[in-house]
Amino acid sequence: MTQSSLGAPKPSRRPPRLRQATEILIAVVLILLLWEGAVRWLQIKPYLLPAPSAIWQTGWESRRYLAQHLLATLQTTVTGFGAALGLAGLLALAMHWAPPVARILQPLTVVSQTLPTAITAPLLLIWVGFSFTTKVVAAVLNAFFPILVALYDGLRRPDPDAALLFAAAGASRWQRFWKLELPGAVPALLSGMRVGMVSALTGAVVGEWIVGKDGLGFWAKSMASQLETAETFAAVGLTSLLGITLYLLLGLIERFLLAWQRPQTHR
Amino acid sequence: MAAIQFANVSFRWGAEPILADLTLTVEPGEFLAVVGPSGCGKSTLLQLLAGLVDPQAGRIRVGGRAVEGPGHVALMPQRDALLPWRTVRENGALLLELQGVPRREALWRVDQSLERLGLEGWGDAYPGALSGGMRQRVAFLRTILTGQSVLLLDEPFGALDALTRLQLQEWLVQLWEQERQTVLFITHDVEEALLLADRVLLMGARGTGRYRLQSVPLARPRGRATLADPAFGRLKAELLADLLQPEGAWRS
Repeated sequence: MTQSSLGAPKPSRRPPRLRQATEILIAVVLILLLWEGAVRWLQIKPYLLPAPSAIWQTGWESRRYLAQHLLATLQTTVTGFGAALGLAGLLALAMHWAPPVARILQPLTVVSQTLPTAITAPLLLIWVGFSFTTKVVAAVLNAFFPILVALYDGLRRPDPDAALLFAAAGASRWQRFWKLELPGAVPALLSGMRVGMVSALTGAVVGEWIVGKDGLGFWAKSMASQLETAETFAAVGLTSLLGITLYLLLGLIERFLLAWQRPQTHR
Repeated sequence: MAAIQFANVSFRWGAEPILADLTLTVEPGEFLAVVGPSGCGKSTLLQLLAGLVDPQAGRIRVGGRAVEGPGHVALMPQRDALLPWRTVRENGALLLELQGVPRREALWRVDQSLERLGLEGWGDAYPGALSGGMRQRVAFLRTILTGQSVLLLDEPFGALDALTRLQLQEWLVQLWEQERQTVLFITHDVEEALLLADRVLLMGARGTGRYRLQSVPLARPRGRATLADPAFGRLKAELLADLLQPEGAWRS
């Protein structure tokens, strides 16, 4: 049998990542330059809009505070994300294995998601108090829904042909779960986790805002109330960097776990 | 003892008859192709044999035993249904694992067969890296390793381009002429049916439940040369005429 025609692997088509990264970097630098130039030429008051150089300088001077608050936010976010992952995982499995649970929980989770954390967080304050736990709970509330939906949907949607294969082979429910449904749900779960991580950060910052002890959310708010605009910007910028870093970190894990997805082919 | 036996089998989806009083015996080692227009019930036939649905009337036996639930035939579904997160070896071992064969032994059995199926050197590749033709070979390997004596192949080459398809048809007919499993091969392609099969089961249009059996007395071994055989052309014309006939004129 000829190997050449049938055996040739499809060449992988990777996006030129380096080029994309360079383009984004150039765009960011351009925006910063424009910003800097506009502030200087138009002589905008620093408490309204500080120049990037001023933000950098202020941020550098208060780096010890910023680092401390960054660490607090990171801790809240990661703890909240971890708890959300565990909770969403348990709920998704319960819903998957017991359809009545799914029928009851599905509408409830949707309702819980329509409530913004900014509204529920004051309630948490009453119930949980001014504590680390309140911030974590805010992060969990934000993060758990996208993870739950992704995992539950992923478990329910195996390839129909593969499902037929398992059925015709007389596979047990347990075999179907371990060999088909669960591994098939991993890609969906991972993208749910990416969204969940960013949501956890948002929840954590809202929690810090309300609890008001530490964290970048607290720092940005208190600096803004003193019209320390440059310091506020530094906190905002750091929060954004933190979010991007966590997102990319999960992307790395995804690339490692889903090595089988590369090289891609169309069917 | 017959490999597959349908005795007066009828099947309806709701009020629509799919199979009406089908009686059919497939001998061990026979290659039967099932041809018919879309929706005629080819896949239902397969689901009945696999024990995934029950007929409303009649009896179905595989290897002399009445069909009661799944797990006694080897099914190769449409497209390849390879699990993308498993390597070629792991995909090949899947059905063995489902049968309860320990993973190591299953993988060992796969390794013994990779070369015979033209897959040597590809054991650790993921399906995403394979061409359509290679993927079908892996799916076929997975099917025959079950050790079941009856193979149900559901339009396995339907999604391939014409040349790859012919290559795989020749490959399959070669393998089968050595191994002689009982094969029920579903296709909508008359040429494919004639190239591969000993007999063809023609099924009437959707809702009629009609069928006809046609034997294919072409010499073996078969291959691309068979396509140029005048007898091949005559049979093809005959079958196509039957398939394209208006509903009422179907002869059985």
